[in-house]
Amino acid sequence: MRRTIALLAIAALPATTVAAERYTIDPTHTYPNFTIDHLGFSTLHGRFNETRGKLTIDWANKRATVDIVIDAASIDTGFKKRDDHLRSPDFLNAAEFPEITFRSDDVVIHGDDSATVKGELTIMDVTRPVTLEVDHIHCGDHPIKKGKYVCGFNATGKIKRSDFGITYALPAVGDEMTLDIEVEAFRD
Amino acid sequence: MEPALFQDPVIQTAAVPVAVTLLLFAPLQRRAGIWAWLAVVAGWAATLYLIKGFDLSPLRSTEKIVAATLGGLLLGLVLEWWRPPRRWSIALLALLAAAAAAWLLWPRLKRLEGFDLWMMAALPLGVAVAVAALADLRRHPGRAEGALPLLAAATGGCAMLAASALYGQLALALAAALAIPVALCLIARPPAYLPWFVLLPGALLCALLAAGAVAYARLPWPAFVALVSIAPLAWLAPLPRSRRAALLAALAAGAVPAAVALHFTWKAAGGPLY
Repeated sequence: MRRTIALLAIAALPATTVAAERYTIDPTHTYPNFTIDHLGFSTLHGRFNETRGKLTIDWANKRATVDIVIDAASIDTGFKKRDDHLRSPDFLNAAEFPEITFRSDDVVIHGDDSATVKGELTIMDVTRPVTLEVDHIHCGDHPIKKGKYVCGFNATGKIKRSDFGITYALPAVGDEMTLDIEVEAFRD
Repeated sequence: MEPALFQDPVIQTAAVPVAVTLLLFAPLQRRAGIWAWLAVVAGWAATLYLIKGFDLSPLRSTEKIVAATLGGLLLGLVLEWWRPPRRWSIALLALLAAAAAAWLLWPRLKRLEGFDLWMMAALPLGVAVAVAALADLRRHPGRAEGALPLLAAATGGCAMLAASALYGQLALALAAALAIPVALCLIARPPAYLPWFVLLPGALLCALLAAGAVAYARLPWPAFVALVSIAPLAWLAPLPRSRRAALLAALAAGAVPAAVALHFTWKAAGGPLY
């Protein structure tokens, strides 16, 4: 009996492996954007220009995993002096902590074009749980890069910078940040 | 949460340390002698509380600088009580300052290689020189009292320009707090000599902020070299008999490298943050 169960389990393994597709993030079409309140007067928009990572998507079981690395020094708000300040120890300290990471193995795909991603965001060595809502999942053959299969989606979420120990200029500069991440990834 | 008034960087960095030091220094000076200088520590600590609190976790570069400064304060209190031989203590302080700098810079050092690694590894040497030189200046009344506030003001100004307002505020708050005993020295009865428990944490704070600004912000190397030259150059100033004149001479001698540091930083990093 035990032998039968073991054989069945081994037989099931290749099927699972085949079902999960591996994707590599396209850094030229993947940008974590953010907005934050500026002194109560306006909403500042910014983004990180350099992102890399991997996704695995198991369409059959409606599950996925995410492993994203963001270059902290690539922050861009359209004004160099402010970007230098955001890279400094007052905020991201990009020289000391060059990478921001987001990892999740708890992605639930709902229907055809939405998902919930429960993962862990690490900024400056502080890890906090973050939930992102994904919409507009669209996959298909790339119309320009022939032979490439691509998936894209948008993800949104909210974090508090104070949760990551980034407390400079609180509360004048907002605590809550809205994340709006555009992602495209090529199937390996 | 503090009132809106205390969220103003100018209030945090200038008004609060000056007010706290002034309120405590004058009454303490009559009764407590050298311990009146603890008012400077209180003035700086008030700014620290307003801008980031006393929490040292997570232990990042800024928290390491604050922790090393507090360590310097404790060691300074011990030195003030113990009074070890001068050469022995200065060599030990230089060694400890270099170790503190290496601890601060370790996250950068471990990722660099080749020439960049050697350049970064030279920063602890600069920190050791600045601390040892300031400690040695203490032999002649007036010189250290002139060099330390100048180093603090120049480091703060450079850090502000080099894109870290937090580093800048920490250094400028020390300069503001030290302005009270310096002003008293210049216009009224000179206070007791600069004690170890202000000199050592103050020197460590400024030198580590300067090294941290090179490693983690945009302070250019020539500016760092100029900053750590302030105390050694104060040695070149003439040594008048009057303590007041010695303080002024140290200020004048240090003003040149301070101006050079600000010039290089302005050139490399541009004007103020916003």
